[in-house]
Amino acid sequence: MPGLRIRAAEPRDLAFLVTAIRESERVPADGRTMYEAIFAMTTAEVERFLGETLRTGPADWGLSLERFLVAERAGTPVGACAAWVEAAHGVPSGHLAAIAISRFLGGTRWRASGARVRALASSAPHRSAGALQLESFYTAPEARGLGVSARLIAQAIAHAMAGPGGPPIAEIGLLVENDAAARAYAKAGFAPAWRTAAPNPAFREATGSVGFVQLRRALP
Amino acid sequence: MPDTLDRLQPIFREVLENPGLTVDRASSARTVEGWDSLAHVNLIAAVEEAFGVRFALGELEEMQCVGDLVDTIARKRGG
Repeated sequence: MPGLRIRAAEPRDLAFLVTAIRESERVPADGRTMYEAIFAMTTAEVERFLGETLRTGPADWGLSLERFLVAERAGTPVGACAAWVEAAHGVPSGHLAAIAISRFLGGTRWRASGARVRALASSAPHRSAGALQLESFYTAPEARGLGVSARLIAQAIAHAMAGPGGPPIAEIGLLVENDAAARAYAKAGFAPAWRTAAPNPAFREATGSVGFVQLRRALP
Repeated sequence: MPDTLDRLQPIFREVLENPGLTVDRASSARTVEGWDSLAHVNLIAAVEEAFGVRFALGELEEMQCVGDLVDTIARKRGG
């Protein structure tokens, strides 16, 4: 795509990234984000949580500013994704995410969402330690159909493979209902490797989704 | 007085609901059954309460195993 530039995210991208993550986390049931559907956050809380976590959260998971790539055209951000190596320092990203969310909510609200959190945990794929994780893909409406995701994926892989001992595989987890996104990832070499075996009723009630599919591809 | 690792044993057994569990310094989420993200939150909360400490997110990011947890508790308690 002419004029498209992929670069590392910067603090000036924070507002755009909050929008990008919110859009990428919408659930089929009612268009709310996973944060609202599972953790009962308000829309304002989702924005505050994402903004705070992007600035100050753990670096070893997908909600850290330094893990994001931004696609821009004529100086305007039009796409983004997060990319990180899972458990690079030994701690699974899901553990860090759970801690960050529980700290934000406080113990009472975290425990109150326990059944939905367990439903999410039982539905979500296991991220392979040492694998490149790609998540929070977003393309602005005016840039759709132009291959933004493919460019982001290519850049994320190139960056991950630049040093010695690059990850052997890359993984993308997404809701089963995101057919269009899955087709775009298939063009980039990703194939289904895992799928939620049995839809969890509580997860389905909260999100309208039957679960996740995990896509995988080998890296050169 | 029991050392830190001894004091952690009942916490791990209760949170992970495994009365026969014994962890050592090398134990980690990869080696201990049931130590998932939900258990991790509960473990950290229980350890913070038992030892009267509060971990920063950056510290939690660096705790790969029980040994790291023991060392971080000691450091935060001035030991």
